[in-house]
Amino acid sequence: MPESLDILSLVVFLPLFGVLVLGFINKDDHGTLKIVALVTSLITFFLSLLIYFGFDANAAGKLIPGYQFVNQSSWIPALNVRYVVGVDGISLYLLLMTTFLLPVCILGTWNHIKDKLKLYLQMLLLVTVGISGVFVALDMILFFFFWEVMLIPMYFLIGIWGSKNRIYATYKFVIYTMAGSALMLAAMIYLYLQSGHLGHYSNYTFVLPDLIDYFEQFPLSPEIQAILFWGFAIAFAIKVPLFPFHTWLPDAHTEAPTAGSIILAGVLLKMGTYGFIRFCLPLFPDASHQFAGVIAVLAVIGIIYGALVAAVQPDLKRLVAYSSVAHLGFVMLGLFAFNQQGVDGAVLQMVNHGLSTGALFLLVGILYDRRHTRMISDFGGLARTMPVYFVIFLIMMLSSIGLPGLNGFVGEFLILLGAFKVSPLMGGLATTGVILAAVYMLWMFRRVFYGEVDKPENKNVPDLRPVELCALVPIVLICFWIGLYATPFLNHIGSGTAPIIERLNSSAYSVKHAVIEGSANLEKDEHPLKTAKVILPEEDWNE
Amino acid sequence: MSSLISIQPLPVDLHVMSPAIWIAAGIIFTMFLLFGARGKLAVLLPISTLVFLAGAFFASTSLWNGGKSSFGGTFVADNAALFANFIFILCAAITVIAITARYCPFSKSSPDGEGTMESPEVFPLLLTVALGAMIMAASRNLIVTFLGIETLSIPLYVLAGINLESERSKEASLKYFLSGAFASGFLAYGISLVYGAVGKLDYAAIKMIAFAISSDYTLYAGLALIAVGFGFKVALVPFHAWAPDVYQGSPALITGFMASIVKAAAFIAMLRFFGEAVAPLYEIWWLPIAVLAVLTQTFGNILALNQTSLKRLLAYSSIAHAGYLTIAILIIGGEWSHAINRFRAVFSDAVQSSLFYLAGYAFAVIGVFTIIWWLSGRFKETALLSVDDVQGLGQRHPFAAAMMTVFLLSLAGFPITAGFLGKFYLFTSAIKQGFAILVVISLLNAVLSAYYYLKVVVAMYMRPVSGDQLEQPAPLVNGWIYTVIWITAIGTIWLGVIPGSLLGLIARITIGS
Repeated sequence: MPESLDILSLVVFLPLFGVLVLGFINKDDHGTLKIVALVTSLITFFLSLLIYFGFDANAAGKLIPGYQFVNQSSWIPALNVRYVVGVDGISLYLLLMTTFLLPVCILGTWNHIKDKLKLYLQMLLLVTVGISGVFVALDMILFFFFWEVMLIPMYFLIGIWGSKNRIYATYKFVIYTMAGSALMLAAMIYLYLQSGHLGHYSNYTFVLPDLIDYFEQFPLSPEIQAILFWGFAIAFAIKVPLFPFHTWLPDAHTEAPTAGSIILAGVLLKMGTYGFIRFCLPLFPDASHQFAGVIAVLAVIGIIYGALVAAVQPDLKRLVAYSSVAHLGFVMLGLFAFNQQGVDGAVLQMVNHGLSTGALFLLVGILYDRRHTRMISDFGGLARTMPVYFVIFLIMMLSSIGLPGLNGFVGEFLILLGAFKVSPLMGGLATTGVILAAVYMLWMFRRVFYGEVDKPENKNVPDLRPVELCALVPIVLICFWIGLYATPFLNHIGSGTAPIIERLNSSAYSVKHAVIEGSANLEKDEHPLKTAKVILPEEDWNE
Repeated sequence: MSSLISIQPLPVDLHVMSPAIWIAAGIIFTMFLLFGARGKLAVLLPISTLVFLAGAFFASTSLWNGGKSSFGGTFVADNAALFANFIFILCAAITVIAITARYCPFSKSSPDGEGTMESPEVFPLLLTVALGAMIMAASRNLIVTFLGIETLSIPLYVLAGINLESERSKEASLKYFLSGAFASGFLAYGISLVYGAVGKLDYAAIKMIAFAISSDYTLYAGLALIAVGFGFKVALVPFHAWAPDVYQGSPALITGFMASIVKAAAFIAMLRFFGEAVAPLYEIWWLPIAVLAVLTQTFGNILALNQTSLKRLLAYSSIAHAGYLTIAILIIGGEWSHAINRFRAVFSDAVQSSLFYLAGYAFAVIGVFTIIWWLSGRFKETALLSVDDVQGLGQRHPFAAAMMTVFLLSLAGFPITAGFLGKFYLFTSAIKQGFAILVVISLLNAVLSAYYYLKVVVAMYMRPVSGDQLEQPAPLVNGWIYTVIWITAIGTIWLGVIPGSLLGLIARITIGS
């Protein structure tokens, strides 16, 4: 545990303090409970803003190169497990998203939950501790701790406050995730035991930057890399979820309460993609190259399949859930393009998807709270009865489709650009996903909002309450901000992704292929890998 | 042939024996108290039991790092044995406190209402079990190990049947006795075969001879029979059949005590036997032991999936945990084969990780059985608490439900509990010795096990609750019970979050010469 509490650890553990405070409040005093939870979440968010404004994209990082706000202290010395946290350009935004979505969840579902409210708020705060911990942990076991700890409150959120099929969904969610993480734990332990082999490093270590350094100097054999890569990749692919590991997602998303869906879509899925970029790519660069083609194909299948299935969903929430499968396919495609555009776009798209899909789940939840149905066929003509709701829904939907001027466009455009550079075929197939997204979203939108108000119960649906607007308006503003001026975001993200891309392109696999492809450039003073950067992955995917 | 019938008296160091002597004195003292301590005086029984346990605890601490031995090296007080003593004392002390809650004459809310001390003989019996466990953990001689096992087992047969009103308790007692006698038979026959083969009973002597001889089928047969005997004691599949019935029939507190202390004692004894006596034969035994480990984990977990009775479910879970712990024996084999000087091989990983695992397991399993007993107290204990009975417990009694969740999560191996770090430590040691595939199997088994632990949590919190389930009165509140549950819960979380201090102690523990 941290010896001196720094601001980053404070952001992670502050909600825990909120949980304790909530514990002392009478469980029937709903007003106080909500205010305490909201205040805790807002303080956490403002503290994380301090990290955001204190973050310097050009700083080298003092204690650990590349990371800022680092706190490291010993935790379990006997097992060489350390408490190491820090942020770089990638985790910065994901951490910010996590702390931002917490007050959104509390505000957005202000009056939705009446049963066991105290436990509900405690679980919401706890899940935030787990997820923000995942994004800042730099020790593998600390990461694993947060990764698994997050499961328990999420399990309660889905299982207690979910809808009809919640118990099935919650089992599926937990067992799927655990199955993946079991393999990941074994791979982590294996890596740890490799790290002490040559005696160059005084001791075994679980600290990720040290491990990456170590394996850069003493690379693992390709076979071992392949096994370990999949050990990690399956855990992350389940979380993402990458096709065909996605089947838990529609159930969990649909059955979860609104706040649960927001957290699931907004940040929890990002734990998977984050895991890929934080662990798989830098630790196993050769294996990443080797399997980039497989993952890209699965990602494209996910994009198209998710969109097609979303198009035929009668249930609003299920539709948004399947759209997540498609969007996360884009993220994976961008990551495995291994170029600056693709990877940066993927990280930005993680944030975008969290904002737009999180907001869509909140909007669907608000509608469900008023009408107690999520079936598209039960609605129609809502544009007249709920004009404010209509406008916000429209903006978030367009952001999700990727309309220029909104955030979704920037991310998807960069991803497709990166993918096209590597493989026009994959890029082209993925682009159909953008069109399909417009199809399912607009079709749903027409059925819900346009036409006559033909059902009597839709005539008097109350519009958004001020408290719900408080939750939604900031999201809308950020969507416009990213959509219109993404440069500062991309600068930060680029500072985090650049070392990873460089590492990927300096791997043994790259060098070997670079010699073949770019031998002419080798004589020149130019770094051989710069050439390799563009040529290589193309070859990977066509293999 | 001289070690069996020794002519010269072996040197005796009473200091080494002092923890066991404290316990033995406690047994005699509490037995005499049985005659006099009636009515309000009955409270002297648990108090004196705790005093003698504390004496044994301090005697053990005074020996820490001493590395002394007595009886010519057959009874040792090395750190492994002393740490095991701490676990045994902890198990016994917590159980004593919990039993006092049941029978405490001062407690107005005593479930019996009468306030009479039923079955006061549990206290000397518990102490006798602890004495047997201490002998097992300290023994480096087959006969002494056998003596320890019998000292541990016989009072447990009585304890299993202590609830005279319950047919199931009597059945459990008889079943446990029969299977235990069977196991002892295997052990005794195995010991005699080993003695026949090598002519020695001391572990060190056996090791020296086993190291020298190339192959000896009598020795192998003896080894196999001893392994079967141990297998019965810790309920490894296929020697597990007695466990579910015995766990279910015994009073819940006794079940928790049995699950924790017997497992701890038997695994320490096994580690000593496999490490200090027959490590040179590891090429013979590692494969059968690995098969036993996989079978035990897998069958334990699969059979637990569909259990409806909580005690049976936990019985199968306990079998699965024995399966995980069996990996520690394999780690011994790995450490031996990787040792630079095999004859002087020192085993650290296996014993350290399994001791930590056992300590964490003891907290969780005693905690969970205490809650089960507490909840079924109003059913006069004969009623079986099923998964359906705890439905809605999250609303009826949030404290009990929350604590039960903590213990179940620890058993399932979720982080922030001792269960996770125990598994993590054990599996790290196993991968270090080259058992990566076995660890993957175990990890997948742990995933499987999450299903049935979560089943109980689902019942407590998530199933819709009917009106009459809510109307069931909350379990009686009793300060002693709260003490026990808080101790075990804090222990579980403490070992899971900040285990540094304890691991610092454990890091000094090794066995072997």
